[in-house]
Amino acid sequence: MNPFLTLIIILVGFYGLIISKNTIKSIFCVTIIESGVILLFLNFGALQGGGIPIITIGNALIVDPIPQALMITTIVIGSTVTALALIISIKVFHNNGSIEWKEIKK
Amino acid sequence: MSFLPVAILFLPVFVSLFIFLIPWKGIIHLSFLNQVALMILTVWLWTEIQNTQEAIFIVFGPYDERFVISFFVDETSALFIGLTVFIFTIIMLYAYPSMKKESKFYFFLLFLEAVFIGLISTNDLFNMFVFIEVTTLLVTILIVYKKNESAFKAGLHYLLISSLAAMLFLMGTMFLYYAFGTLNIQIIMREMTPAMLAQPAIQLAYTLMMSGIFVKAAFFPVYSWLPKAHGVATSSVSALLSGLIVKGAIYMLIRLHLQMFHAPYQFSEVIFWFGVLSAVGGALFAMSQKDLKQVLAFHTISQLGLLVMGLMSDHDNSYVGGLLHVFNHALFKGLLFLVAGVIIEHYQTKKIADIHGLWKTMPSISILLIIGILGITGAPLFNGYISKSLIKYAFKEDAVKMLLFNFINLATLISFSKLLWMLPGKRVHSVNLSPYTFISLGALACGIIGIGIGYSWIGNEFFNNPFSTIQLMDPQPWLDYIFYTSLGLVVYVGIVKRDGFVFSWLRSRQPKFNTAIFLLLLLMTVVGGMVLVL
Repeated sequence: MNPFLTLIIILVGFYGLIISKNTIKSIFCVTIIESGVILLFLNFGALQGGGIPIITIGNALIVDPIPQALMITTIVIGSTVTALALIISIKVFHNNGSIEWKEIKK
Repeated sequence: MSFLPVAILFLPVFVSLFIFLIPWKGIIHLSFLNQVALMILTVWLWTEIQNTQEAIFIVFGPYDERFVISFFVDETSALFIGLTVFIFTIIMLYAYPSMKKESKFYFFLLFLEAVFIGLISTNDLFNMFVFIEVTTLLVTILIVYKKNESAFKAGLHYLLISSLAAMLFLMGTMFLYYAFGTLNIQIIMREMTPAMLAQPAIQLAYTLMMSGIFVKAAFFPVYSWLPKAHGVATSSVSALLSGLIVKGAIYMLIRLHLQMFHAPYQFSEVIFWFGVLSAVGGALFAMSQKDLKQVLAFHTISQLGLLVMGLMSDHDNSYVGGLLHVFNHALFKGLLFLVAGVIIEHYQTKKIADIHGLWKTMPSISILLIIGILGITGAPLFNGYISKSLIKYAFKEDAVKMLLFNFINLATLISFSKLLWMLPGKRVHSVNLSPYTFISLGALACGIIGIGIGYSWIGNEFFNNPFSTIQLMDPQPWLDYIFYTSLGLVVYVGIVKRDGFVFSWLRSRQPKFNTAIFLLLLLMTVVGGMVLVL
């Protein structure tokens, strides 16, 4: 996959963060940026025609396992952040009746 | 003795799990036992590093150190670990009377302590990212712990912008992995040459990582999360954030910018000017605020700028001064936030104008407040004076930098004169303060005065620098301090107290979430441009 495509995903996320007035949209823009980052890193470790990174006999071509291992951790952490942010926005909705950044009381 | 850093990291994790799982209210006393054990272990770690004169390096598992997690603890890390343990002990003691029935609060505190120690001692960039993210999560939970309405918005703002910063840091990390094939900071440090900073991948990595760190350190254009979070959190959490958590970013700046990237002096110079911007801007905003906690929060930005000015100067004395200011700031800002917490609890208001008669109502708290103010404004015999005069050392030949430094000092004095107006007046009500409050606040005050008087011992013992440029007997600093204090009081009464339109304009100019993201992109452009041009 072309790394420029992932760059576009990341930029879409930033654009959304700048224009969105809704907290839920902001949360998902952060998630989009995170997906872009994950794709970009997996792209670095990828190898055309490479095998899966488990113990094989002989000198078979395998993809770099480190980016995959690291990105699984990132996905886990990212989902935790999203969950916490959504919980907080539910609380915000209960308190204010709105999830727009502007209408949340200071 | 390679097990020491691991033991220091995992002890609070296990204790916090015990506190979380055992349904007995008295279990939180285990956390104090844990703090005592951690203090002993930290002192042991320090003497071990002093005796062997080399850093402790641990690789986890029988594998090649290029691919696995490793820990690296040198003198700077050990000092930061000591600060962490000390500040957490103070916070736990202070929070004990109000939180003794809430074992979950102690669970989060202990877990945060473990994660923060991990952030300091890790030698792996991805591991560092994980610790940054988990710190963010735990701090958000602590900010919204009291579940009041305004806390949720600040918590959400902090969570989103900090995890975005962590994402930028992760992106930088993987460009470094792409270039070096490893995430081990020590190996990258050995293989990095100044010529490599001309490669696009490394330039991109530098830009992204520094932007992330700038957000975490609340530098000027991207500071917006800090005053919001400090304003709404409970006082103990505010003190923790201001005294310790933002110092994590300063530690990363030392580790990555100064050590790993071998950044040339021009880059440090640019970060120096970011520090100046933070110091001046933070002090100006602090002058305009009317809320007690907001004044202290903006001063955190200002003092962080000041210590970055010291760390990024091309002089050994200034670097040590900046490093010492990290500890001094933790002491006096922690003290001021905790004192503010006591005041707010008893007066039930955060508005400085509504608080009167503090001296007659709470004399001991007033004395502690004055000690904190003398510390932060840099009075001789207090710790702020020591670090500020060391930071000043590199500016002696540069008239512009000296002028800016004096202006920052004056602005600090002006905005803290505001707090002195709380003291006079009639006794409002009688108060009974808990002994835990006095122990925790007294320990911080003792630290402030102790560093101020015993600076040469501290310097020799911990910083390998006898601080011999500081002369307490010299009348010059005393006269300077008296001159600046009187000038500050005159300016406060003459200009700031009237609250002209400039100050009300400054007060209303707080960036919203969307603006903060825009400013972050702007910052990235500026840092990237700087890397390309220099």
